[in-house]
Amino acid sequence: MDLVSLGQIVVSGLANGALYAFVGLGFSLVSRSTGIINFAQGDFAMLGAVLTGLLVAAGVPLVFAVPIAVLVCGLVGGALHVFAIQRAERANMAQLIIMTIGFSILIHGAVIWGWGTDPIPVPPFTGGQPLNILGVTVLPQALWLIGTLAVVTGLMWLFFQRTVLGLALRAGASNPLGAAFVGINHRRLGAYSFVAAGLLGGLGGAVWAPIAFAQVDIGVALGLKGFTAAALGGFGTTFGPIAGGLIFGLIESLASGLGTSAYSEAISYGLLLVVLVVRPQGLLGKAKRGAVDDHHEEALSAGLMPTRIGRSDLIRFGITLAILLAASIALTGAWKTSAIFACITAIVVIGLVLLTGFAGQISLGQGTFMMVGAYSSGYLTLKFGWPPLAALAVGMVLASLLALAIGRFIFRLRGYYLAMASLSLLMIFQTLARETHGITGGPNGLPGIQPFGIFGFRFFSDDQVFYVVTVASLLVLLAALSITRSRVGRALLAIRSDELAARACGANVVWLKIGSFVFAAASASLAGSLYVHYLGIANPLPFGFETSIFQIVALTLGGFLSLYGSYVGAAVVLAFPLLITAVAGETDTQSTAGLQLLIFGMLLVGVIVAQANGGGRRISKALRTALRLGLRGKPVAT
Amino acid sequence: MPSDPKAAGAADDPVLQVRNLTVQFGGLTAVDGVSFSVKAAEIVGLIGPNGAGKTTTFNCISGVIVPTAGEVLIRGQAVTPFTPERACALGVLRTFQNVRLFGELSLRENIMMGAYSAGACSMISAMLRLPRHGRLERVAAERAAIWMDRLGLSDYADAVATSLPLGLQRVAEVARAMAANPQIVLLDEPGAGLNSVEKERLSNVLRQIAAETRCALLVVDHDMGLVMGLGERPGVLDFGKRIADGVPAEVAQHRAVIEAYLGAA
Repeated sequence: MDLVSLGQIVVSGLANGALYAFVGLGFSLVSRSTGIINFAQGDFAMLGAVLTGLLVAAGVPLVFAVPIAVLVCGLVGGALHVFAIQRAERANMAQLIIMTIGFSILIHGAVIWGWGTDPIPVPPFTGGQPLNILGVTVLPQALWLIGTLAVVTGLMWLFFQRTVLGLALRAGASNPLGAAFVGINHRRLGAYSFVAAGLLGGLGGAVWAPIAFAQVDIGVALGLKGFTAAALGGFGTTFGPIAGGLIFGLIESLASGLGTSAYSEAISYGLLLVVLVVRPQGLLGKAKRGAVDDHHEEALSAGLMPTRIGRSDLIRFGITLAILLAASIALTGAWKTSAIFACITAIVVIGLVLLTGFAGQISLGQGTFMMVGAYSSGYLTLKFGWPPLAALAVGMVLASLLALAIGRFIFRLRGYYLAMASLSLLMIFQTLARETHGITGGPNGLPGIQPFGIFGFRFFSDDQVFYVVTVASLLVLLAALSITRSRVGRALLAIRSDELAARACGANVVWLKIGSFVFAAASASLAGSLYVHYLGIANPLPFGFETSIFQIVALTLGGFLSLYGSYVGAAVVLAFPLLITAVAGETDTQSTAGLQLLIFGMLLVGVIVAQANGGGRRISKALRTALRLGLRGKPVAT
Repeated sequence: MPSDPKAAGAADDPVLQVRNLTVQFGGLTAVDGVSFSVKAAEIVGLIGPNGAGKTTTFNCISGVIVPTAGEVLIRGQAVTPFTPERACALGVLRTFQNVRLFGELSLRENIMMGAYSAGACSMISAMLRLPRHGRLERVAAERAAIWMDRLGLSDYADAVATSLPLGLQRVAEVARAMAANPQIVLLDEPGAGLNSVEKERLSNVLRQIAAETRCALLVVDHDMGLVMGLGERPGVLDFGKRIADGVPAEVAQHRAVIEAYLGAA
């Protein structure tokens, strides 16, 4: 490679890297002052870009459009903290992180609903003519972006070193309680950090927009890449994300420059995985000393949880069975189809109850394991004529092994790295599935998969398939029940309320988390297999990021610790499009999709706020009392 | 140096040996070359003013903190790596200064959780309800019943553990630790927040436990009263160094102890 093309790669890498740095700075600011991984970080940048584009399109001069867009992003960030996070103070960290996923799809949905998914052109700040510097073509806008980053870095340095508020922020980040004693309000610090994160993201997005297009789809990828920047540089450092972003931009640019552009995404996400596994504290961060984090937070107790299968489980299992039977008789047509998908989703969500509810870990990549099941079933039945049950079993074993391998590394670390690791894994698998035509059939997938069958009997009609998925989901439910209502479940609950005390009783936290992850992976693989047998084709599309988000929504709606609730959550999520269409009549599918995301986002946030304030318990307690009243005919003290 | 770890198990061998334990946080030396040992059925108090490094020593023994230097042996076996799981597997159980029972479990289940180390049971055995799971659950239930009965907790078995009065919660933590059939239990400020009646009751319980189970107890407290009442042999840590070792009355007379507590005479 000659020097000029290397220069070209470096320049475009630095420009993209500057954008990642902006997003990464927001990640580390928020994480340092609140401990939260804010999933909406990439959406701030997306919002900044889109708003700038829309304002310019509406005739607002660029000079005003950019500051307005950036300010709005800051306000949105602050509002999310004040109106959502501050109202859920007793929520645990996993819930708060899922809440920020709610922010992300809320912003995403609002933009799609209000504008759509079309790219919006944004004019460059100064002249569109590329400059020629020593033979290397440089867009002036790239210089604007890198220059803005430099100025922001300088300002941030001054702010943190020279102002009282900056000192306060640093103090609050290093020791919230101590800072509180000297009068620093950690709530206000959290709000400031969200405002700052919104401003930084918005600014990065607005200045970057002219280089490409302002588009709603960039939010998720930007979030992941910004997170990679922060992870590379180190979450615990103020300026690490800047170095991390630039380095990551360069690596990404090199990967696509070396002619592997199809895989460059996969390489970038692979890098994130490697960082999370090898050097979780980042390149610039310092490793935390000490074997155990002794920090003990008073999290909201879910109340007494059963650790033995008792009468209440028998009753609930019976009710679930009865409802499923009723559904098999009552539902027809599109509703029956949705019910089949709901059962398949419930299988995944039951796994998530164990993983997220009980083991406290968030996975945004259950689609990966669904794909493992889907392609195992598709490939083995199509190419080798295996019986579906055998192919399904192989898929579950492969998914379990994959989860085991990842879990071994990821769960050595305390924290919520699985969320990002699983998401990057999903991105890698999506790329692989699209690119390895020989095995997966590329984007077209593997068509012609036969319906599921056992011992020569095939289940063709929707009615028959519904029985299959019902039985499968009930088996998974039974397995999850025996895990959670056991000494293992007791240990998981103990870890949930007090990790150190649980370890002191001999609970092996790492292996319990790995076990939960493996169970969730195997369930997802089972669901993926059933899915492709029903649709008759295995392709990457149905197992993408959006599916993971819907699973998280179903989990939240059903209740993090409620196995039976998985069905309720899945049913609500799957019935939703049908309901919107039924209520609003035949509308534009795109804006319906946007509205759905918007409502799901609000539901995620609202449900978690309600739960953190004891709402869910109050409702379920009221229902229980009502049920007992009905059964016994007299009031019962609870 | 006392040698051969193979001789472990003999009645007179020390249950716990701490050798040259040193912990530094950054430039600050919290514990400086502390050595001591505890025998079976012995109650040893670590007393000393705030900041003397008692809790840090404690955290090392229970695998919460990795010491800068030195070693901790349980029945001759080193606590390495320094993790709570390893310490528990060797028979070190502990209670916490700010009582830490599990809020989503009943009192009975909290104590059953103490018996978690009675045997390994994989998620698969639990899922398939293999005989192993049933056996371990029976063991846990039996031990919970025994210890609730002994320590007078049976009436509260099904209550949310964290809703009980503090005195009972402290006793429950002791029960949870004892359900593991431990070699040694570390009690971190067991008297904190208790009134004198509760304290009296707790020290009776502890004496009874040591005598009946031959389990060693290591008690950290800056309340000299409780340890003096309990211990046949309190050790005093001052500014990270062990300065006295002896029966209570002797220790209380020890010049360095008086200095540490009251300032130079």
